Amino acid sequence: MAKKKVLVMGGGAAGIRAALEEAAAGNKVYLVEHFPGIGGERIPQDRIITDRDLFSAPDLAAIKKNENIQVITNADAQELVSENGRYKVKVHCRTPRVDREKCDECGQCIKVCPIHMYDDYNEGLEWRTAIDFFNSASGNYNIFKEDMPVCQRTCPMNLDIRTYVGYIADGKFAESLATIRKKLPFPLSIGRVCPHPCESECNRGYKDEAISICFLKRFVADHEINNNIEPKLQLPAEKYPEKIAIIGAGPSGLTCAYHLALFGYEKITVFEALPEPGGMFRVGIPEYRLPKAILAKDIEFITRHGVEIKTGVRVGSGISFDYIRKDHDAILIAIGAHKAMTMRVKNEDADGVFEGVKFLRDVALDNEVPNKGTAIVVGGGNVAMDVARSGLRIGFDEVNLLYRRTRKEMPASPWEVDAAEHEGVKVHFLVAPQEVVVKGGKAVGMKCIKMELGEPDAGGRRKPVPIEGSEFVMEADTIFAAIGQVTDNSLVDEKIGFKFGRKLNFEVNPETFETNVPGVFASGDAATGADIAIRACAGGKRSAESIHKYLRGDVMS
Amino acid sequence: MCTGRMDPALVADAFVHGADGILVIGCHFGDCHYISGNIIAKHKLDMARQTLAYAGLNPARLRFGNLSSAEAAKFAEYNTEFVEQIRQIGPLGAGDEIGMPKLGEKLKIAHQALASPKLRWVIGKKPVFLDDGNKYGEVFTEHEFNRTLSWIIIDEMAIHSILAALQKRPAAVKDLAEELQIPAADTLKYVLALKRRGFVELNSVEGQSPVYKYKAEEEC
Amino acid sequence: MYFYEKKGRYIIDFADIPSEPAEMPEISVQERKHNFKEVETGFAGEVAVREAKRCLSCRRCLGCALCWAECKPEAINFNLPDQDFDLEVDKVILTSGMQRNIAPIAGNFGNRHMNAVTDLQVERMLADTGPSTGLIIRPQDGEIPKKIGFAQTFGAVDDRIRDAVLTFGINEAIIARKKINGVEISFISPDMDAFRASAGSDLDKVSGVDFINGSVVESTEVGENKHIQVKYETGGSEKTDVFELLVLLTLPQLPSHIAEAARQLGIEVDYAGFLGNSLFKFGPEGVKSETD
Ligand SMILES: Cc1cc2nc3c(=O)[nH]c(=O)nc-3n(C[C@H](O)[C@H](O)[C@H](O)COP(=O)(O)OP(=O)(O)OC[C@H]3O[C@@H](n4cnc5c(N)ncnc54)[C@H](O)[C@@H]3O)c2cc1C
Repeated sequence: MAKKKVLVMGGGAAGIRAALEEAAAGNKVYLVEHFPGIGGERIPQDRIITDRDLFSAPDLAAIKKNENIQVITNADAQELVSENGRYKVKVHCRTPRVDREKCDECGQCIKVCPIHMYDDYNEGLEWRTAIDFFNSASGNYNIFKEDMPVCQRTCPMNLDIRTYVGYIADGKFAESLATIRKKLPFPLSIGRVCPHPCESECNRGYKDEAISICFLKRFVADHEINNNIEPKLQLPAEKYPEKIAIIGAGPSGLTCAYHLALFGYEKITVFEALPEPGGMFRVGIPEYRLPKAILAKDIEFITRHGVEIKTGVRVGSGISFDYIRKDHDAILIAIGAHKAMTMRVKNEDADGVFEGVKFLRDVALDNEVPNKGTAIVVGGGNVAMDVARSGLRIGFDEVNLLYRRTRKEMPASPWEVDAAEHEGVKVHFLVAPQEVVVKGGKAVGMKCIKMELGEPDAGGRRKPVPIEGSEFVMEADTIFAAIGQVTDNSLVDEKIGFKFGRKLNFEVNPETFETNVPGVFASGDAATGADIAIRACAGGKRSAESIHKYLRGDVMS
Repeated sequence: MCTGRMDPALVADAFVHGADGILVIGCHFGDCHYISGNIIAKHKLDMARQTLAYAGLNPARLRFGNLSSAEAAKFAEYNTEFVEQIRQIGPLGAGDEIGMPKLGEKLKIAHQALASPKLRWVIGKKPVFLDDGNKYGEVFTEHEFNRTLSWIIIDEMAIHSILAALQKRPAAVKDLAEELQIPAADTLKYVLALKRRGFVELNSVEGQSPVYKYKAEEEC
Repeated sequence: MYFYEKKGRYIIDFADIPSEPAEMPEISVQERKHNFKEVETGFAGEVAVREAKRCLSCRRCLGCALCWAECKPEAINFNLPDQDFDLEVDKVILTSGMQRNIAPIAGNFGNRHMNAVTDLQVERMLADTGPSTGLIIRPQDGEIPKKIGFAQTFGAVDDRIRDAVLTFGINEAIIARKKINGVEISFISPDMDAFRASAGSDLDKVSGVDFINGSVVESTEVGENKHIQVKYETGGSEKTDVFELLVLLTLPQLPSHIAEAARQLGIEVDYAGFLGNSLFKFGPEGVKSETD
């Protein structure tokens, strides 16, 4: 029988045994291990031990000797596909930075290395050095170099937090801001509204509290405008002639435009349906969290790079998508998610029931809005908090917020919930709406039912279940639904053949943000479903890179 | 001699031998014949001061200044003022965080830390790290560099005190911790890390205590 | 893929690192009434600088190249690139590997206590080539504990996983008994009775370990030695005991890269699947799982 090729994934005891067996059967074996070393003694977990077999140690020597086994450590198999009964695999092997052929394992390097770090192999019981063997048994020396610190890795945009915070500590504010703007053109806005996932990961949190990364970003950006410092623009010398259309002037579209300008594109047009640019920064997030004048500064910084924004142009009604497609070399769809989801309760379309996002948009654009009496807000996310807090500001005497689960499950940021309560919003937990109570064609209240948390589901989340007989009516003059938004994708014709996801979002390649239609990209909420702004910006940057690649060929690889 | 050539261990050595204050004067920044000798000198002295301060010395006992050879009068002024300041602080052990003879012991550890390769090597990299970046091309902020250096100083001081103590006699972690005033949990990690690197080994187990000893012939 | 996991790590105290985090100043609730004035007013310059100085500038390899300078065989090469290669194979064998997370019970249970360790950490301690030369030691002071508690940290799981975890823990207890003269060991698990029913006589042969069918309600650090006081519920009543070392039994999980590989090959697997079969083989004949 011809020699077969076998891929064994995992260099633990089972993997080593399988590799040896396959090699003994005359096959060529690739043993791929995620960590830098294979093997390690283990205490059995399949039988209660007797005096003799305390540990089982895999036979590393046999592996080393066996010419039919190729050990690939620090590696992962990516893209496994089966084809005609065979398997194609791409193996990515992270560099050890130590030439294993030359290394004689003398240990001099670990004696002098000045760094102590967490020792994964020994579960943190001791410290290892940055250059180190992973497992003393396999003795593979290796330099442990992280791609980036945890904060940066957690940031959807991978902002170089360590550096820009360090510059602030050094008092070099301009350098700090320039570091941020290499990637993000919205430091004033993001510095105010970001829910900062980076801070939850900050290692300082182990000691006391995380660094206020988000507010520090706001600080350096504020410092520039408060001191009337002219922002520095960095436009490349080389220019490109292609025409690019961006639909939607939200964080995602504008970040994409900014990066395209940084690449050297001069004909970038952003089409915006509303009279003002900024997307949800402008018409979603209320002014008390992000003032219009502040946002305008971020946008001005972007337009100064040569980006044209055409407001009041709704693609799909004023001007057709096909027309834009013919007239441009590449298109980004960054139209966000502006269509409110329905509560799916009776009488939802009665007078006096409003979409929360529409209310916020009308407030932001100084349109007329309801503002008298008592309001109910249904929902537990940040949008619900914004509607409730804006409601009190605009004139409602009382705002009651209903949420089906408990505070712990609330998707809104805890500080937002605190602020809302602080300002007088009454939050009712474990209450679900059942039916809008209508009198004379107008909503006068909401019939609700009390809930309790039941058994955890498969994902560990405890589902709320109604308590029978606990129905009650809460009175209200106005009811706002704030339970989520989906994308209004009606601007494109079905015939073009775009694929859509669950949130009516444009399906894209998660790496390149390319849709299934060549030359058309989509990012931000329109691609991910309603999400956070920094992720929309990150998508905008990635799509700019992809558009550049698409127009210029594989220039960046 | 250019101040840039000055060995930070030399400064520590002078304190170990009883100096009450040290004043180092280099050329004005920008006037260095070797371009950056005086800047390097300042980095080295800052590091020495931080290490010595960690050992308990009053950091005001070590000062760095800039003068040219044409500024004789200023030189005299500098000296008088510095001497006056040291007089006010008093002799070694008075006006410091800890008194003699304990301070003397700790200064010896600081000397060892400053004489070992790690700190000398890393401080030598400071100008490169801030301007061109490290081996991976990553440019450091000053804050980042200083933070990193602080960690290494603390680690080095701990390591050298543990090694010095174990050279005298084998000891259990909790006794080492008590003697050196380092939290026992940290002492344990240092001891284990030293063991991993081949500087320390398990000597015996006495009652509930594993006892560790210095492993000879290896130099830190 | 990263293997640099966020786990407890040491953070030094140095006098010039400010510890107090900065507070964002806000306008009062009164001032917010009926207007849309910005609520948060921003850091002042000195506050921002102080806050920035709290940053630990986390970094592993410094890139200082001291190791490179000291390496006689010149084996260190900072520019050695990552490698990608394409393989074509006839057969793929997946093995589980392991990753364990702590599921905290009750508020402060477990990993925040100095002298609480995981079963995986104990496994490393017990290995002769491990960091503590085969000794079980307390992370807080390096002493060998005379009274050890083992406690299960998770609720209901697949029976196969439960049995594997308990067997693993019990084996550790057995080795600890051999290694430490006169050690007292308690083993607390809400699944103890169920496990006993399936393990049978093997478990009866284990001596010197007090097996308790019960669940931990709460644990607290007590005294200067940071022993751990454990409150647990057994047979309808609540009991307390104090341990010098507490070993947390953790739930094994399939590392994400293995789960992902399986998914790409068209099957969903979890850790339990590997326990019964120990590995999955994908060959021309299709998927085959093999029993150990
Ligand atoms: C009330 C609210 C509060 C929020 N608070 C926060 C927060 O505190 N922190 C945070 O990080 N994130 C927050 N978010 C989410 C964040 O604002 C969004 O994730 C982000 O704005 C998405 O950016 P985007 O560019 O993808 O879409 P959007 O910001 O929605 O921008 C899309 C733009 O496209 C325009 N458009 C739509 N259709 C067309 C068309 N056919 N032709 C032309 N233009 C069109 C829209 O008018 C809009 O201007 C909040 C969202 C809301 C609704």
